[in-house]
Amino acid sequence: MFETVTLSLARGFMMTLRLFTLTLLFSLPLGLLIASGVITKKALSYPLRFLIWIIRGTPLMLQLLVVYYGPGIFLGRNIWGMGDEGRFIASLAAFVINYACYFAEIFRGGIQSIPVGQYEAGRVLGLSDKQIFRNIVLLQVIKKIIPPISNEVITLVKDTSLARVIAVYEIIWSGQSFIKSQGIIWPLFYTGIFYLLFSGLLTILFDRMEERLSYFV
Amino acid sequence: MALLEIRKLGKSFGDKKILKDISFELEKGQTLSIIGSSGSGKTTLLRCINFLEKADEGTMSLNGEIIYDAAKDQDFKEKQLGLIRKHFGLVFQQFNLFPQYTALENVTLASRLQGKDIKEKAIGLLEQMGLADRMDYYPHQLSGGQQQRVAIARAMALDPDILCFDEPTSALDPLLTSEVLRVIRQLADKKMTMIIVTHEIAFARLVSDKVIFMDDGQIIEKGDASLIDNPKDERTRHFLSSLDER
Repeated sequence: MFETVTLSLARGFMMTLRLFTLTLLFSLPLGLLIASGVITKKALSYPLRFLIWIIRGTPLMLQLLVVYYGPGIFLGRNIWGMGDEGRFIASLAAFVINYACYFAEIFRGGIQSIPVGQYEAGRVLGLSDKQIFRNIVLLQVIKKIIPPISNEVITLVKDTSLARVIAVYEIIWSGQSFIKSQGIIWPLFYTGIFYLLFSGLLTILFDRMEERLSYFV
Repeated sequence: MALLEIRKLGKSFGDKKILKDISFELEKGQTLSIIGSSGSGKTTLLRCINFLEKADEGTMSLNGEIIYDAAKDQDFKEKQLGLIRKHFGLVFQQFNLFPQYTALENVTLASRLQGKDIKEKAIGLLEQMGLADRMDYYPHQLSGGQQQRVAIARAMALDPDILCFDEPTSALDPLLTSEVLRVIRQLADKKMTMIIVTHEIAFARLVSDKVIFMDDGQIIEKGDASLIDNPKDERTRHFLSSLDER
């Protein structure tokens, strides 16, 4: 029984990992794009800040439902495609938008926290804006944002469980299915071990990154 | 012919005039000190000279050649500003070293990005600043005075025609101040052309060939270092005596 459960949960966890990885892959660059839009383009900054307000101001679970069912209701057709894959893509879209907005705020704060004197010192040394960003500002920003980013990333590991509201078969779904089929609840509790091991691994990774940048202040 | 000639420079932020009708000349090898109370516009003047701000009136000439004319050059982009900035070096009040680079890397960075290896020269400059044993230290491992001396070497590395200092010792305690002033004095002895915005009046008297006193965005008096002992204008006298009371 233990083996059956473990295998079943591992399959569910693969889905969790897939959602986690693809969400990061798309939301980090999108977040950077949103942040640079907010910082540099006045005209863009208001609609983007409106979007950030909506996304941060409503539950992710609600956003999942709106993203999945919304197009069907308002456009009259399901744009996400049929079956499991369609639901997965819809949940990925909702996660990417949600996390991009949180990341955008972290990037914005990180970039704006760099003292103006760093830019001016670069300028009087004849560096271009691009050189200043790449060679002076970027690493300082990365160092500043690693702790808040790691927070978000570890939250994302657990947030993926929300995808089950639109029937994405992630690990919690797998655990729950044993309640219905076998009448046992321990597989659901057992899922916690998977989350713990994975977030432990991420914690170690982020600690290493912090350690590598600890040579300057 | 003067190395630097400033003619009728003016600068406003919004409708507040910060600089009015600033004119002066500086010969090669001379040291000019700019003194005056806080808010008198001296830092803004220095920032205009280094093109961190664009003056909106007047001209600046180098060796008789106009490098900036506010009447037509105010739309200069960063690229053009970068070119004329090369004539000037600037040392900041807050040092503004790059924290992720060692002392030596701070000095070589700008040249390295232009594809030039100036390591030997940078080592020489840091030695000249008394930092031979601190080259591989990161800024946070250095005292304020050491950081400021690295910043001076960094500015010198690009061979500016004129080296500018914006209150270089205002963030330092007296002991650290004296070590920074010592290297600036060495540069003056070597006939480096310099403009120094400072509150260190005794030091200004010692190193300056020229002194400018500013108040309310204007030059009130200019002359040689003896101006500090014999100010003619009431405002200069008032400012100098207020310093004596400290």
